[in-house]
Parts: sequence; structure tokens; C-alpha cells
Amino acid sequence: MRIRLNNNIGNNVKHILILAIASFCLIMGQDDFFEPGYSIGGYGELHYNRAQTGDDEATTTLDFHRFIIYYGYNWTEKWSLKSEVELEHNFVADGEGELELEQAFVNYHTEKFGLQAGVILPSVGLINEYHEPPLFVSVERPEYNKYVIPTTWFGNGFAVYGSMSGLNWRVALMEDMEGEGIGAGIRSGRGKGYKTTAYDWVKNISLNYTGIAGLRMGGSYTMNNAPINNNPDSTVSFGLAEANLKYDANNIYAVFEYGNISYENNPGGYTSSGGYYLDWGYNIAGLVGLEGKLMPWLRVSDYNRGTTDGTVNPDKHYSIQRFGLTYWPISNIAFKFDYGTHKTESANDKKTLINVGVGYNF
Amino acid sequence: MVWVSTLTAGLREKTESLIYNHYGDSVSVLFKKIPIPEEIKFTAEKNAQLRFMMDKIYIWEISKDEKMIGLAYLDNVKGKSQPITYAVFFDSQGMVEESHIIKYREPIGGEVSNQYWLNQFFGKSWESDYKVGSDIDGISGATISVNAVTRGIYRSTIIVEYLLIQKHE
Repeated sequence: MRIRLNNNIGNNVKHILILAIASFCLIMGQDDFFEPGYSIGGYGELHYNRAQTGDDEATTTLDFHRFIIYYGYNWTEKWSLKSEVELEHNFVADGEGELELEQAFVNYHTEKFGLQAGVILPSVGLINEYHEPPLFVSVERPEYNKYVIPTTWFGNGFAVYGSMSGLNWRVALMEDMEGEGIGAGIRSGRGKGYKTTAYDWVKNISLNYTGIAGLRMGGSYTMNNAPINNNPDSTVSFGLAEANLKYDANNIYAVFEYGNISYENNPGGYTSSGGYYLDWGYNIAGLVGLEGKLMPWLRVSDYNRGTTDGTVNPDKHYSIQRFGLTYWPISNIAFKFDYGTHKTESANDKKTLINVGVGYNF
Repeated sequence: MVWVSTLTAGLREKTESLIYNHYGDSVSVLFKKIPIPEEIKFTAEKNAQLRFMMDKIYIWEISKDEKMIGLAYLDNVKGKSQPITYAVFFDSQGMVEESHIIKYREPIGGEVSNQYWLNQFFGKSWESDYKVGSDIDGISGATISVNAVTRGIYRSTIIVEYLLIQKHE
């Protein structure tokens, strides 16, 4: 009896072992290619800037403007962490330079939709989410993407997104802006994730289409009742509507962005601000027998940082003409030169700017 | 006990569905998971400037009336942080007829899955040029994925050329 029992136990163990090995083989045989692990990336840019207003003495700066490290970790095929830490102007001391946690979010991603929670970017304009230097032609980011759209705009929040047939949508809910910082634009209202409030939440809705070769076109609307000094009963309301278009194929490069911000209770007394920029370029690398991409380009831009009841404040109205030459030996590195003028409507003289830079991403 | 196939069912089904769409329902297909031939591996990696993520690749031999009319190739390249699984359909001479992203696992850069972009590889072979920006249009905001998939397809043409020569010898 005892022996038989042992035999039974032995058989059972044998069956379990065979089953376990079979299961193991079954699992090991299914290649789905995902492996948990980390990834790194980053970008950076060095700038030489020379500025001269009228006959005034010129100023020059040489600045490693941005150095960014991207770090990501994939727990599973669907769950991952993505983060970006940025150091601006080489070091941080005595109020100079900036160290920022620009992105740090948990991402759930499927082929149809995804979720993000943490430090995220709103989808607003072409450059806020895609700001690596080789992606735009000028040495500095277009001024539109600083004073109309406060790039890089990041903060604590959540987002859902999805795409189908080239149509991509995203809805983000983020920390309130700081109402006391809003005035000539919303740039100084960014909380950057530092002890921010969530009384009203920034609501950002965007839609873009990428279903045609080389084309990206879209738009977004972002709004918030931004508390003044963290007081939800005293707010500045704004609504930012923007449209954007980029075409980069067949040697042709064209970018257009237009945006308008309307305000209520703006501490600066403004009721709106906004503007546009337009870039044209053509890749001549093939014509001159050069490897990579070589593009002369032109930019015109006009924007204001403050309009009151339809009247533009001349001190806050700017016109920009600029041309440049950008060379990408490979798509991850760009050498840039540009020259142009910047005119404030109320000023007698134009500011002349010469910029030289190099940027990379990996 | 079943020693299963070598490819997750979803990936295999999707690839085979695309194979039948492309080559027609009347073809017969023979699926194989094969080691990357050592004789050509180094050359393929060097020319495409891209290392293989794994030591195996997935091949479907496509035949019609007992004559091989094409070859489908499935492999992976590393995107920003995750593998991009792609398939390339060749004719019997090693020319690219169609390419597909079978699985894209990242929230950004997914535009490489769009067929309009992948159509640029039509007619290319191991002898073609694959420089992004001149021979292959880039996609703004998808630089890493564009470079990875372009190199991956170039690498596949070298391997397939080798396999076809072996087959004919």
C-alpha cells in the first residue's frame, strides 16, 4: 500500500513535472520581442548670439543653452516610465541657470489609446512636445513658441490619447497656471510643477492629422481659470486657440503656426495676445552634391504680447524677418546660422540678430 | 505537448494576413524561424549600421504553382525604448514590394506605421541608397523611429539577397 502510494505520488510528480516543462516550452516558444529594460536619450544645443540695436554696441553670448537627458523604463509592453531632466545654461547658482524635471510620467500604451500620469506636456503648437533642436531650422526656437505658446510648457497632470488612420487626439488635465504671473502672455504663469494648485485644472484638447506624407497639421484649445496667489476665488481666465501646419518632404520645408489667447481679468489689463510665424525652406543638398540636408530658409513673424479691446499696445507688438542656412549631416545633428531683424512697433531702431548654433538629439 | 511556433500568435496572424493580401489567397506559405546566417550577419549590420536585436529572424517562403514567387521577412529594430516589429515583402529577386509595421509599442513616432511613408521602400534592394533626408523622407517628431526602420529594412534586403542566392545554388 505504502509502495503503491509512493508510486502514485511519483507518477503525480512526474505528470506535474512534464506539465511544467510543457508549459515552460510553450511560454518560451512564444516570441513577442518585448523585454523589460531601460533606455536613454537626450538632446542639447550650443548657441552663439550677437545682438545690436541701431548703432548701440553689440552684445555677444556663447551659451550651451540646453542639455537634456531622457530616461525611460519599460516594465511591460504596455506600462512604462518616461522622463526628461533639463539643465539650462550649464549650471545652476544664484538664480542663474535652470534645472527642471520636464517630463516624468507613467505611461499606459496600446495601439489604439494610452494614458499618462505625472509631469507631462500639453499638446500645444508644433514645438512644445517636439522640441529637439534638429526639428526646427533656427538657432533659437521661434519667438512665437516663447511668447505666444510658452514652450516648453510642462506641469503635473494626466492625459489620454489615441490615434486612428493618421488622426491623433489627446486630452490633458494639468495643474493650474499661476494667475499672478499672467500678463503680457501666459509664459510667466507656468507653475512648472512646483507646489502647484488644482482648483480649476488646465484643460488642453488637441487634434492633429499625419496621414499624408511629410504633412502634420493640427490645432488645440487650452483654458484655465488661473488662481491668483493660489486663491481660487480670484482668478485670471484665459483661452489659447492655435493652429499649426508643417510640411517637410520632397525637399520642401514649410511651417505655419497661428495662435490667439483671450483673457478675462488679466492683471496687465490685456484682453488678448497672439500672432503667427511662417517658415519656408528648400533642401539644396542634392543640387550642390552634398550628403545630408542643406537648407536656406526664410521666416516672417508678427506677434503681440498685449492687446486691449482690439488695440495693440505698440510696446508689445513685434515684427520679425529672418533668414538662415541649416545643415543636417545626419538627421540627428543640425548646424545652424541665421540673420535677421526684430522690430518693436514703438521703437525707433530695429534689433539685428546674428545666431550660430549646433544641436543634436539621440 | 506542443512545441509551438516561434512567434506570438497575434504577430504571426497579422503578418500572414498581410502576406495573403499582398501575394493573393492562392499562394502557399512556408514559415520558418532561422538563425541569422553568420556569413552575412556582420556585413548586414555594418552596411545598415544597425545590430540585430536577436539572433533569429522569421521568414515566409511564398510559392505559387510550386514556384517561389517571393519572401516575407519579419524582424525587430529598437525604437526610442521598445522594439518595433516590422515585415518586408520581397519578390523572388530580392526587391522590396511592400513593408509593414506589425507592432509599434511607443506613444510617439508611430507615423512610421503609415503606409504612405513605408511606400518609399518599394523597389529597393540591397544595392539601393537609404539615406534619410535624401533617399527616404523623414517624419518630423519621429526621427529615431524613421532611422531605425529605414536601417532595419536596408538590413533585411541584405539578408534576403543572401538567402535567395543560397536557395538558387
